[in-house]
Amino acid sequence: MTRGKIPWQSAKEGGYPITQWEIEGDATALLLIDLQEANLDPKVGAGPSLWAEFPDIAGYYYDRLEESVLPTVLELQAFARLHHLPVIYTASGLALPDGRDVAPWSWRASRRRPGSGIPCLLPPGAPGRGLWADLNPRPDELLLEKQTLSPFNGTPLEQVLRNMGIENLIIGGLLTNAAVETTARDAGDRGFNAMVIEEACAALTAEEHEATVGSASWYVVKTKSEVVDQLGPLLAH
Amino acid sequence: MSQVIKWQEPWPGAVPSLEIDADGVGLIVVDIQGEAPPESAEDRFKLDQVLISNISRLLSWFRAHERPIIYLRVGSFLPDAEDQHAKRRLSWGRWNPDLAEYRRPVGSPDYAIRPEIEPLPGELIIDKNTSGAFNSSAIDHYLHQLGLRTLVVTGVQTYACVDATARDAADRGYNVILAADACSAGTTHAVAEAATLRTFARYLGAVKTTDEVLTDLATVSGQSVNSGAAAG
Repeated sequence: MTRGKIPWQSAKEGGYPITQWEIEGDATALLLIDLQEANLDPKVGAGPSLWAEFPDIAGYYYDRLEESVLPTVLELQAFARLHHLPVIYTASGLALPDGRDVAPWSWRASRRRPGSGIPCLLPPGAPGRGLWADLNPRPDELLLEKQTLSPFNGTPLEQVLRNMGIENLIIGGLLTNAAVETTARDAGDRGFNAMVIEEACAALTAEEHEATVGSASWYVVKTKSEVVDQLGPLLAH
Repeated sequence: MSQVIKWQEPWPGAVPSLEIDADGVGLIVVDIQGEAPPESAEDRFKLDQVLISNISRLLSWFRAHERPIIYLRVGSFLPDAEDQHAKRRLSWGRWNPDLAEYRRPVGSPDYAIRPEIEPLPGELIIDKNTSGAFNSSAIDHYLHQLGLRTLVVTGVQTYACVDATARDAADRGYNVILAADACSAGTTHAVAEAATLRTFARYLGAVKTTDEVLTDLATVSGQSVNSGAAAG
């Protein structure tokens, strides 16, 4: 018996009056978005040019990663593994070395433009393209490569979740208002119970991060402690 | 014919300008149905005077230039709304506390698109039972078959169905221009609306006024700025 109600939205969030929601605890997966070395290490990927062109943003972002996102993500991963919940990682990158596979408009393609030093999406095999080493992904954990923000738009994630019997998603990663929010919106809109973990995400500014937290649409935002306390009693293992 | 237009403001990775192909431009009108009453007189004014007026100006341009217009409608496909995900089914109750589950199936009185901007014969209408059109309809198929690459997105609510549809369109590779003053959200959702516009302009596409969109459309199609309005 792992079915039970957990707190869902608070009335002040105003969107809709669902204060509690019944879920199947064991039908939960942890989804970690784009936690790649290039997005975490200030010395590789976009780091050096971010520091050079947008030092205020770089200062905020790398502090937030170190102080909040990375430790929280490791705790969530340990929680999921302890309770035999699937862990699924996404990684963003170009599929082709010259980037023809991403949309022309895309900021992710900006590495092709003369004059911009921000390599937002890395080519195959580039330094930093791989997952953060501390995650130590296991052979039984899925990695989905994508060229989109949302894995619902560019990977077989939905089919995989349905096949695995997953109904609930705990979501963390980068960036809060870009890939994380787009993923959470799609997940919620498609009927999954999507829970974004506040401390496990970062945007490039605090303002953007707070805006996503404050205007959740079909997903909810919880703290790590809330999700652990609420889900724990509903887990069989 | 294609022309370069201004795209995004400076931001890490932003695209300052973008080449737009005139033949690939289409208009999307999201969920302007006879739906729940606006929450205030201010909202009513914004909906009736500003939103309908700006969408009408865009409709005139796209009709005059014979470019595709796609209307979206949100509701349930089945009378009992069992086709919707459970939280959506329950959430509609906020507009009518007497109903535990608010249902707006296809064909019900307030399902219709507002008469002021009624679709003309030959304009595509796509029904959906989610916020984002890509999550519950074949919109991607239609956009592809119509040869569309650039979408001007308008409608309600800015932070909900408009955001979800425009985000997924951009994420799937379309050039998306959000016409901010042809989108609306109630004043109680002003913060969420501002968040949508900011995030969209930085990470997903361009955010412009209706005037700016009409200027861009004139540029990419090689027309004078007033030709669409005159023809409409």
